[in-house]
Amino acid sequence: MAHGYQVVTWTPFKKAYDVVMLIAVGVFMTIFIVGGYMTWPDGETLHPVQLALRALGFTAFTLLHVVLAIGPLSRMSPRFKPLLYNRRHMGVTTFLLAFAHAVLALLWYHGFSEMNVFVSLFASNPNYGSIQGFPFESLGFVALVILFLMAATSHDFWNANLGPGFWKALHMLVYVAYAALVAHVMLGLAQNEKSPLYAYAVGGGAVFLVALHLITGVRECVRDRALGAAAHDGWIDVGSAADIPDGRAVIVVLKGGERVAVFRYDGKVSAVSNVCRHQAGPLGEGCIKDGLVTCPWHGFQYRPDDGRSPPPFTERIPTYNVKVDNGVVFIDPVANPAGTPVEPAVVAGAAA
Amino acid sequence: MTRLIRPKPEKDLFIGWAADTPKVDRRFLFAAAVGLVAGGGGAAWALADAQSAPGPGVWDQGLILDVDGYVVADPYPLIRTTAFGGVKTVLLSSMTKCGVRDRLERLDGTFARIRGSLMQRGPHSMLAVVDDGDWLTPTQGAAASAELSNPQVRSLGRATLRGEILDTKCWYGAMRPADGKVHKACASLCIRFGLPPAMFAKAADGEGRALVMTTPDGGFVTPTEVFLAHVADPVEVDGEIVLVGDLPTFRVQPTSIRRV
Repeated sequence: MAHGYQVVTWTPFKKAYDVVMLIAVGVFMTIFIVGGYMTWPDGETLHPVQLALRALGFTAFTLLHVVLAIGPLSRMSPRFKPLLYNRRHMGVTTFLLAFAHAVLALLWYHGFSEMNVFVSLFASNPNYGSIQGFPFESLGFVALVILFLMAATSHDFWNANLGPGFWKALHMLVYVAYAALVAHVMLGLAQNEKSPLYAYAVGGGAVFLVALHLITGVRECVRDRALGAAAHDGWIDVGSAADIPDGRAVIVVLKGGERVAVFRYDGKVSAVSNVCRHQAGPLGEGCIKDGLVTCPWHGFQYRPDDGRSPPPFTERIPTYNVKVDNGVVFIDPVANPAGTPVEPAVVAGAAA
Repeated sequence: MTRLIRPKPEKDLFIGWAADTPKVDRRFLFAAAVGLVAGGGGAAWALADAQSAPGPGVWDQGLILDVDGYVVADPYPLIRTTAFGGVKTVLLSSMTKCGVRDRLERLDGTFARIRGSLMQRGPHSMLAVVDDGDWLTPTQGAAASAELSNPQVRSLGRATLRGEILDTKCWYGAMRPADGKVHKACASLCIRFGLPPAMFAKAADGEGRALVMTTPDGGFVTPTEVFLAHVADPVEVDGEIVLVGDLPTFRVQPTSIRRV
């Protein structure tokens, strides 16, 4: 499989992933609504529409936390990596819940009058110059637009046509959406409610995510410095071929920060870019499956000796010249153009 | 300086499109799924349970009533009636976020029958008139007609109230909750299109009361942009509390409202 947008089959894992996600969403909303009804005596509960509106908003916001936590968690432990695989479904579900919340809020709070709902949305509260009085609805609108763009372009069709770089940059806007939503809830509901729980929950969620991202970043930096590789006549010393597990790779971080995945397989060594064309997944943390370099994030594959996806797919990644001298692997730090065939280096004494 | 990273070799590497998920991942993912559902459920309960009391306002839109009484258009449309036992003032609104002043003027100061559904919150009542043509029918005066047409006006003195300006319709029962910043846009729309504004303040006993706001001479408060900007904000207002029949009102100079 590679970076095309052909139909992807529904594996048992994918089905289970979506079922669990939908159960979690259903349980969250049901408990919130039932709990909301049980909190106050009959006739003094929240209006059903307003209760549903809050349930949708809280579910979407909570799910967004899960979406944002999966990335750094999967960098901390490979056990979380499977959650990356179908994360886009979680993202689209988040958008759909947020959209339902927005439509309901627009109708309920801004509808049923002679004023256009969108005029009301942006003009009913003119306190744009005040932090305390700031119209929190506009922040929710900004977040919803971003979530829509992400959901609409989540299919690999858009990744292929927009280009991985632009697509990735677009989807990094999720952090802008998250910041807008934190402010949306803090300046809206959390400010409205007497219980400090909402402010603590939103603040705690933000601290958790920021801490998770920072810890992951620091760990990556420390790991990057763990071992040094010496230069040797313009070639980079990658160490003994025997130290590379069969079917796996080591990752070389070059001077400019560029990463190269050096794979050992079938008594040979090949080096390719560490960056998957799909979503920039770390190929060096993947494996050789069916003779192909396989990305650990979404399973995209490339041939190790020319960096090309097998037909009918057309993706290519850069390759690097490689040699083995007295059992030590060396790579040329100058990347070959994507898809350039490079003869694999043979590990002496290894069974082919 | 170049650096070398050795990824931890996993015995079984998860590949999303593969038919089988490694056992170690299956076990972990099962635990994660249980944790997600249980944790999410617990969080949902805590968030639901912490919500503030929305108030006891009710509006049964399915129950259409015919209410006889004396109709008044100014400062805000209302009907004084004995239909609920004793003389009671019932404010009038449309089914939407609009007032009915224009539609009521032809029968202002007369006895009539009005059809609509009732909103109630404690002693406060509002009738949302039905949209069809026969919602308003002229009638003869009732037995307590003098009390209905000429209510006693009694000043309870001047006061400075701290609270928020909200719209009567939502607070009487159209919405729960019907106050605070989340409801600001809705309250602003309601007041802009003719529904009576009220000053909501908490008395010493902690009980919240909503006083219908009028001008110092008991007239309609024009919903200027300045006035609307204060809606649902924490404000302080000087004025005179005046009982008009059984309806508590707060006579204020709209320009004297202060944000706190």
